Amino acid sequence: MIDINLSSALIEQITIMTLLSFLVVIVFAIIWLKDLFAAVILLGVYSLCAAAIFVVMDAVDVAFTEAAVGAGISTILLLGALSLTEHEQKPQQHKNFVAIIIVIFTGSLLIYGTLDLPYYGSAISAANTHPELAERFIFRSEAETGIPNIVTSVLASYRGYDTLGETAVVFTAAVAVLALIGLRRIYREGEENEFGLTVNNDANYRATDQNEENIKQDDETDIKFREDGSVKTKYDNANQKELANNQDHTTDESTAKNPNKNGGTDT
Amino acid sequence: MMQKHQQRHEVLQVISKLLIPFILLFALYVQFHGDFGPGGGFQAGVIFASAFILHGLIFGVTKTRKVLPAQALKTGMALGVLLYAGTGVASLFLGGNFLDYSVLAHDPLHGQHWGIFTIELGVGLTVTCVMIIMFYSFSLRVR
Repeated sequence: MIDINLSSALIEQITIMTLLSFLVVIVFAIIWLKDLFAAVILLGVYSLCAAAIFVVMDAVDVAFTEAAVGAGISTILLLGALSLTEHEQKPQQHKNFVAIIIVIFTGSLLIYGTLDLPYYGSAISAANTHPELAERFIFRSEAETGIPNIVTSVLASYRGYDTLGETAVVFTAAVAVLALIGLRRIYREGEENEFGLTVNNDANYRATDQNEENIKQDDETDIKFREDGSVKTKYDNANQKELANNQDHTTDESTAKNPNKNGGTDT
Repeated sequence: MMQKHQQRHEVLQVISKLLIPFILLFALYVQFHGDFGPGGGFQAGVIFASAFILHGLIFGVTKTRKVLPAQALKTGMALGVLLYAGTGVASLFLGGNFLDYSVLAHDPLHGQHWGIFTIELGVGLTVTCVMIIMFYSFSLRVR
């Protein structure tokens, strides 16, 4: 029995050490890489490794969040942000020695600060020397809140203020993105939009909230814009009529079966 | 999403059409089963949003915006925070402290249950709407 416990603890330690060393390797790869696309993908891999570490440490809720947010959503959002910029990092022309000295100084201070922290599972850690709070949550949270999952009862009930603050932070992030980037779609002159139409200079199609009314109405959005002359096609008139006829009969069902009809890139 | 790209993605379109209902169902499971297993509003919101983001990636954001207009998302993300804070204010008016759910029902355990259910719903709503609207605003910009 003791042997089995020891060996499983050893395997757990080895797994955690391996995954932690993965994290270090990935971090140096992200710093070293000039290709931002690869860096974003590596950030997703980093989050997945971190989630695996949390699973090994029995923190399933945290692992769930890390995998969903870190590896899933933030990778997609970073890729979206990358589509607004260049894929290559700009080469650094000048070297700033003051900056590197400050960074190294701050980094070594932070590492020095971690030396005082107790080790993982240490008997002198605050959680183990003052176990009253943990005991309260473990033994009485189900009786007090009626919820078997201690993490949920702590997050939602005992520490409801914190979670309210977190929700407000998420909300603020979206407000900031809307204020900085917004929901406008801007095409440059001569650029093809998603309907295969070339855009005029004087009347850029903007998918703002006013235009959303048009989008909601039916599938004929692009035809509407063609009619009021704000966009012109690169195809001749006969083709336009044919496209318009196709558009009239196109529903979402037939789009999947016959996507060629919807686009107008077929001639 | 350019239209000519979508023509190439026929297999992905069919597969994602099959997957999206199950992603939504799993998100609802994570949301409402978070009291008993791992999960909760935050994770459920992210999973729920990922279904719509998958739809946007495969079928084009214009189509997704017809399903879920940005105005609804703006309303939803504010409504989630209001639902959370409103639960706290409701418990304040019923004689308890802010976010003290025990006073929400006659039985304190039921009150806790209802309070946690409501605030998890608020968190899930806000996170879903925020993730989708951030995806909209990043993907709608053409350089």
